[in-house]
Amino acid sequence: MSRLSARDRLGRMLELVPWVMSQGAAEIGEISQRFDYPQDELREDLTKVLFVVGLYPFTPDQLINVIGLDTEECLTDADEDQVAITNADYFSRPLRLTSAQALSLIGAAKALLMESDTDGPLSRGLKKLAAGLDISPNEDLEINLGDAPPEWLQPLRLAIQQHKKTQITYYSFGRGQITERIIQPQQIFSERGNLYVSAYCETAEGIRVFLIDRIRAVQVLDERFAPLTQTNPPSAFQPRLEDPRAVIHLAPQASWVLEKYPIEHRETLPNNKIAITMRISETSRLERLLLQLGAQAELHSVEPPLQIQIAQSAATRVLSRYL
Amino acid sequence: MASESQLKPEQFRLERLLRLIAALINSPRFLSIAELQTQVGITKNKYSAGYPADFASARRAFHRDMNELKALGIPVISGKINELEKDTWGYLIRKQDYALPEMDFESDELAALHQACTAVRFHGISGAEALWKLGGQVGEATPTELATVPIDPCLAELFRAVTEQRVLRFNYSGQLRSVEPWTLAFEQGHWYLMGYDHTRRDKRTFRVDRIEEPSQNQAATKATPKVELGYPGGFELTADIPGWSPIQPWKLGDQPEVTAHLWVTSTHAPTASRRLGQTPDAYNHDGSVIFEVPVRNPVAFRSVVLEFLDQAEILRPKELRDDMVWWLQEIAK
Repeated sequence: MSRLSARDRLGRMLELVPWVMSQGAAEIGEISQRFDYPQDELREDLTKVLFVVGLYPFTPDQLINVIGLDTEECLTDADEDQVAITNADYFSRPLRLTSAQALSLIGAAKALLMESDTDGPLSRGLKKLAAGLDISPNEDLEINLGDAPPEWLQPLRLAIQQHKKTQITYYSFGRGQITERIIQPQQIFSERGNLYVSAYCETAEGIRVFLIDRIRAVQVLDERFAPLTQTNPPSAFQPRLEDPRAVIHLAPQASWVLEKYPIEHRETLPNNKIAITMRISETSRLERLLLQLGAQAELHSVEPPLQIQIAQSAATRVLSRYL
Repeated sequence: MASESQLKPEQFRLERLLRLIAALINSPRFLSIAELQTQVGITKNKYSAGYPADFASARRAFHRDMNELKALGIPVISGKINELEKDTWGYLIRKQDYALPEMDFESDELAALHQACTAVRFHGISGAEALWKLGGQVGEATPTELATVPIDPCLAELFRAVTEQRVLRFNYSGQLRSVEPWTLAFEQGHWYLMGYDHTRRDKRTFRVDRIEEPSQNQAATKATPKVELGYPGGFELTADIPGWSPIQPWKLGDQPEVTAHLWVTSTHAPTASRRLGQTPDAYNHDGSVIFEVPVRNPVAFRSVVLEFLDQAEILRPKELRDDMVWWLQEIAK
């Protein structure tokens, strides 16, 4: 950690003092770990700073008492790494959570809570938190990181933690086929409202990103893999070098496309249309977009050029269901 | 005591800030800056904590300290002190504003919360700082992050309004709204606020990132924030308030509801089931399924059906089926 500023120290000190007081005494190593306070700095701030904090006129009876460590007073029959704090009633409670902190704690707990787990530690923790803050966690906040069968998330997280190879049955929309693959799962992540798992795919011999919603079966195998050191954060829209670039002209009312898909370049044309450039890693994604937009989109060019008129051929294919 | 000269400037600053907070919490009344200068102490030299003896310098230092306290969310209130000959401004921390309510977590609960907030992060909010308040970080952080949830600058205020039942005022679609906020929801990558809109006299769902800046007229009168909060308990939560339901644009419309029969191939049935938020109403022998979908917005319905390309087909009613055929024929021309 870089050097702690006064604010970093104050934020920690105001929370660790109440905790130590509630415990009676605590071991310096544990305080350091719980409050992410490097042990040497903590020791110094307790014995040289907190020790001289108190109320005017700073007579000894008005000062906070730090007992233990290398202060003059020692805890009886306790080792030298134990510390107790007294005479600090005004610091005996932690500071209340800000709205943002309450939101992040309740939100994170809700996002991870499985419906079945009503009595687990997370569920109990969330209940206490909500009761203390007077929040109704079911009505006030809803967090949905993506449509995904919860029964796949648990084994995938396990496989990631334990570096276990995993067999998945995956439906590939682009190819319209179901495949069995052995993957080395790296990370689960949420992007634009969908949950993905990034993995080294042994079948494809490369890093691939799988939409968890399209996984049809998961089996964690016994065999372990050597974890990769991943440098880039995973992305569901990682273009490959060979992916074509499409330029689409959008009517102004189709501007929602800009936030739903990653766009390489955008430009407003003199006729008020928006020209967007996007990489096409899956033809079906482009087909879907063009069929949804109809006359609101015009596929201006694709580089390298495709052999077919993509919107027309996709429309004809879907029409064949109906006619 | 060891020689103070070994301490770093940030440690002297820490000492001064701790004394300042102690003085502000302990006082039953507002304290002026001059009184705080005495109560916190005056520096003798650069090797001791406290405020400078010179009042103008002390006042500047005090205001710098107030910024630190504000950044940590310490609730300092201020008001006039009338006891003196002329009105002076004073400062105070009320214990009831400052302290976290008692919660008493078991260590396995803290460990689970620790795992949760390292797996799901809210952009720009430190989960660690929140955990310190509950008793510190216990156990291991989760080795892999699951998601970073984006946040909007006004999100924390919206959450406060929901949890404290405060009526909200903000601009949306060019109109000033007055809303009783019921639920804040993150879905499909966006934040939504659902509640009762007094302006439109109906239940409404708002996209948080589309809440507008105050218009120039409103801003000219005073510094108006993007969302304005009313008093806590400004409205009542009644039993008939609907819970959050996922955003399903095909159900939100002005047209009379029709039930569409949608056929989906077996390979896409599970995805369609989650996308539509309902289980199939009929199963065919080949594994394909049929959903009976309530539709009030045919255009939005057509759009969601096209997500499945040729893996789905609208069976009936005739109008929706004909509309799809017409739409596709226009594109296929």
